[in-house]
Amino acid sequence: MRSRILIVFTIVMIVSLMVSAVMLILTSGKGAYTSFDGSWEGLSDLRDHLDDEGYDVKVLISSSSLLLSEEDPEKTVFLSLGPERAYTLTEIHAIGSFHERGGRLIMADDTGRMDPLAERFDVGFPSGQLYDENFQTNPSFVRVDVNLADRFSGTLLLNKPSYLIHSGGRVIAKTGRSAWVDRNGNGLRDFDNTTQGEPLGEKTIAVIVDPDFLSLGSGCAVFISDPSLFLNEMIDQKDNRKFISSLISYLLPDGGTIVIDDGVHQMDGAASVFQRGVFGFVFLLSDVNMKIIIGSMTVIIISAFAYLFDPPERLEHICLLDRTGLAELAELNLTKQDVTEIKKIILDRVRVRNSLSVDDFSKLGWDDIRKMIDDDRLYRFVRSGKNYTVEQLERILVEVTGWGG
Amino acid sequence: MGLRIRFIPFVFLGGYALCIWLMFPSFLEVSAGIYRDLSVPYIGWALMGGVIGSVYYRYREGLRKRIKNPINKLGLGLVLWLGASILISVALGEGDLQDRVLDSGLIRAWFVTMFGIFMSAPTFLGSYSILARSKEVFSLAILGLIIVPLTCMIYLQAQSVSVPRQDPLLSLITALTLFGFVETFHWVYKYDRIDVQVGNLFARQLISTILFAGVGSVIAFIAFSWRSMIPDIAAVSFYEMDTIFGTAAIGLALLSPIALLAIVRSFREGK
Amino acid sequence: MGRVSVFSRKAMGYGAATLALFILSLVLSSGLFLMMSLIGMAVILLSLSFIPRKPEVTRSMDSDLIHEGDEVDVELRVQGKGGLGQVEILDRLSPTLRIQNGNNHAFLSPGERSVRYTFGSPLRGYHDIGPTHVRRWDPLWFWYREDEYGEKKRITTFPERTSADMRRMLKGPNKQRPGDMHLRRVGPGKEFYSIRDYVTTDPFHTINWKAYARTRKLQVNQYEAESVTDLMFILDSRMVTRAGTLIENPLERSIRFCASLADLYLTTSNRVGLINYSSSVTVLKPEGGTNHLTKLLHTLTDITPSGYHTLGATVNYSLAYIPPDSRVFVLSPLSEDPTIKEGIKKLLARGHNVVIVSPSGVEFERSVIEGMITPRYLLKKLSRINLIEDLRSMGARVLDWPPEKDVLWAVQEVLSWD
Repeated sequence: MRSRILIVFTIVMIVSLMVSAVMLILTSGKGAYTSFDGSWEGLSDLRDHLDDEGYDVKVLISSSSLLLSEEDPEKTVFLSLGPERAYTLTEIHAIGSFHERGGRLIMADDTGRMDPLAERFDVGFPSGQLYDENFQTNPSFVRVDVNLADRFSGTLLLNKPSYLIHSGGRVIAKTGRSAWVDRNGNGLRDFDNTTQGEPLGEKTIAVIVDPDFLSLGSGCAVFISDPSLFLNEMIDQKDNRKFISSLISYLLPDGGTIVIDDGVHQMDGAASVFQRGVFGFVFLLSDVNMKIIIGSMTVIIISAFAYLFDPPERLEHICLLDRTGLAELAELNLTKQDVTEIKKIILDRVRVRNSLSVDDFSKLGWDDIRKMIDDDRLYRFVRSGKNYTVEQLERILVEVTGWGG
Repeated sequence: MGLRIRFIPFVFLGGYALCIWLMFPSFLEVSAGIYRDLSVPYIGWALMGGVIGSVYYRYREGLRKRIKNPINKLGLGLVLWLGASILISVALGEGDLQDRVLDSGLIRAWFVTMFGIFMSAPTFLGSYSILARSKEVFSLAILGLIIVPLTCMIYLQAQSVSVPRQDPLLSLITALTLFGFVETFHWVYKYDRIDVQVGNLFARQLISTILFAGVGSVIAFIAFSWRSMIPDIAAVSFYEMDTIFGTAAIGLALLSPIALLAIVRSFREGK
Repeated sequence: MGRVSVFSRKAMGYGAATLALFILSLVLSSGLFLMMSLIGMAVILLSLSFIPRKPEVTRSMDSDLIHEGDEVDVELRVQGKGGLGQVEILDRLSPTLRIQNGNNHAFLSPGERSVRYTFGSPLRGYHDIGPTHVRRWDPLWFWYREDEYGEKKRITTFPERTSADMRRMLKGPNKQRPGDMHLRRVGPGKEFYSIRDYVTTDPFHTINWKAYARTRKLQVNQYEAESVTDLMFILDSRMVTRAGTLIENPLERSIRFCASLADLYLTTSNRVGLINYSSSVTVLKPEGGTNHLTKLLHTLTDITPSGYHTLGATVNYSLAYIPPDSRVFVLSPLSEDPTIKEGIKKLLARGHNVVIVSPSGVEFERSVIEGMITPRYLLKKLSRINLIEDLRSMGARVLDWPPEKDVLWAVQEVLSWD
């Protein structure tokens, strides 16, 4: 008993250490726009800030298709910043469903990879970096005024932002009239032409797609064309931090959960191994097409194993004493080949009844034998015995049984 | 003489049907997909299946004497009925071909019957397997008992494009009733009657079953409610941990000491 | 056989269902299925961790040399440590042994236990008992470890003999039995009769040295003559003789008859020999004494029906081994052998007293087919009747032995002919 307890204790310690090690590796993973990265391009500051504000901050490292099973979407904000890969169809479907069930979305992108998702909300992220005369130090750092539904107004400092196009919704941040988009990426503003080139004009930076979500009790999606304002380096610039706090409190007036999507970003080092593994596992089991395949294959393979399984032999005493065997009566009925034997039986009976030896009997003629048999039918059978059916043979046999005593 | 224990798996089978009924209040939505006004709750189908299974067992010899291969003939009859319904609907219905088939009352009646048979089949097989002590029929019963909640889950997820919540405590009780049905069937199969000769063996198996199921229940319950048991710390703030994957991972982590113990024991036993 | 670990069908069912439920729970995000799979896994893993330790098993038995119909008590002692789990034990018995009391297959809880059972041996032969298989099961019958204890032990079952009843019958009046008869004349024997002078042809061991010491003349012992009967059994053990049930068929009846009569004649100082024909012909030359009886019983015990040798060929081969004037018992169902008349004729021509004891093969077979009277039965029966009448007319005595008559009846009939 003591050794068993010791074994269990040792195993528990080993398992705990392994789990802790995995956790440690994952939480030390680094990469741009990842939640545990403390460098300039990480989001650790954002995560700590939101945590300090009393929100329940969670990091999603695999796939946003898990949002399908979110039980409290109305108290959850899904935060996706500058994805490094496009969302899969299943993920788009899951995020859309999350939104329909009352979920809150904050989607910030300047790469264009969020376009397939944003299309569901009639929002687009055209390519090209936005420039404005209203910049700080460097034209890449653009200043933009923000007005969040009379809850907050201030100035955001953006880093190489893009812009977005939308139909409907409420704009909460936009540039002045002096902004333009460098479509060809040469850093210069080209011809001032409204259909081609890079004209000056107001550009939308952030929009709330469902401005009446609180009164309607629906979901709410916020699109922002620059994810960098959430980074460690940028969060303390201008009113970026206050804006983020106000936005979150606007979406979650009674508090709630914030889910940061690290699944669209690549961690480096050992953490990436775990991340890829978890993503692959979740993808196999949550993607609509893969679900059906995996589910069906699982059931088929397991059923096949169960069917092919050979159970062990039962222990039991087998007694063969009641076994039987047949020899002469293996064939129950007569066949045409038995004609000779029936004839022999009749002749032997005649011989024995008349106390004759085999030699003496063989010297007799057919007339004598006929007299001894004294039955025409039997005599004809003995004499010729051809073309008798099995039924006829049986009748003759029955007759012979009673014949001669 | 001895105590007949055949009633025990019946109790668990009924309990499982009851739990499924409570677990899936939207079962009627599933049956409404077959026929709009079909408002028989699952417990109704299950009870019907159990009763028919017991009656069939009681009169099976007489039935088989009168009708050879009754199950095969029933299957053939159902197929012929569908064929006839389709032909009649196509011949006498109104509208184009598709409408004639889809709006056909005969075909709908067939679907309702098939639905009823599928819903009551698990308990039919379950009760028959207990009475006949048949492992083959029992395996089919278990398959059927799992397919019922599976059908509900798939249908509801497809309908609402979301995953309906399942209460952990009710899930635990449902799981235990199914486990109880499986184990108590094996008691009946092995012992049937409990008397002096097998009394000790039965008692030991009963104690082991309760012990192991208890430990399993604790592990499963912890896996579902671990969040409320430990303080929120940054190191465990992954969203995956709040999903079914996290619950599964916690469950596996809790099971791993037992698994490793089993492996260590088997190695030591092998020496 | 060494240790074997095997999973039962229940374990496979549990394992398959648990794994399927686990994967389905992740695919469908179902808490219910996950709960079921976790409980299932916990139950499987916990049960696998508890298996009883290997016990010590010893067997004790009454006897290993018995006769048909005897019973043997066996006790198996299982000594192990307690704990969870079950121990399944099977003491392997030959399929030709029957359990009379108790059971050689038992389920026990671990610890100090014993299993008692009695088996009977209704069929002669060399039967094996053991080894003892022990399966140590986990508490929920998922898997077991199997071990074997001990080697196979041989039990010898001699054919049943009804000698006691026959001896009682022998004491009846008007029956003269040749045997150890003292004839009051000089002849081969064991009892001292007289002394005479030595002649050169006398064996050296018959010289009476005491007489020589007294008279200084070589003299030899003379013994009283005894009358000793030679009996020769010709036993048909071809394949056809085993038709019927395993216990009751022409061969077994013949062997019991042979054992009974041989016992009677050997214990009354006669000599008995055996010629057995099956796939080959084996001869046990006529000898007397209890050692020879044991040898004869072992020979009868070892017989296995096989082959298609004929009586005619057997007689041709073994005539040289049959002492002149000896009585010959032919034990055969007389089936499927066209040379029977030829063989019997040869024996009769040599002057032997031939008795044919024929258990009816067709009647034994008919009892297997529930007494049905079929055309082929009629054919074979008529053929047999003709053959028996022929043999009788040749001068042999034939006992047509139906299945419902026992060995004692057959022996009484045969002895009444003397």
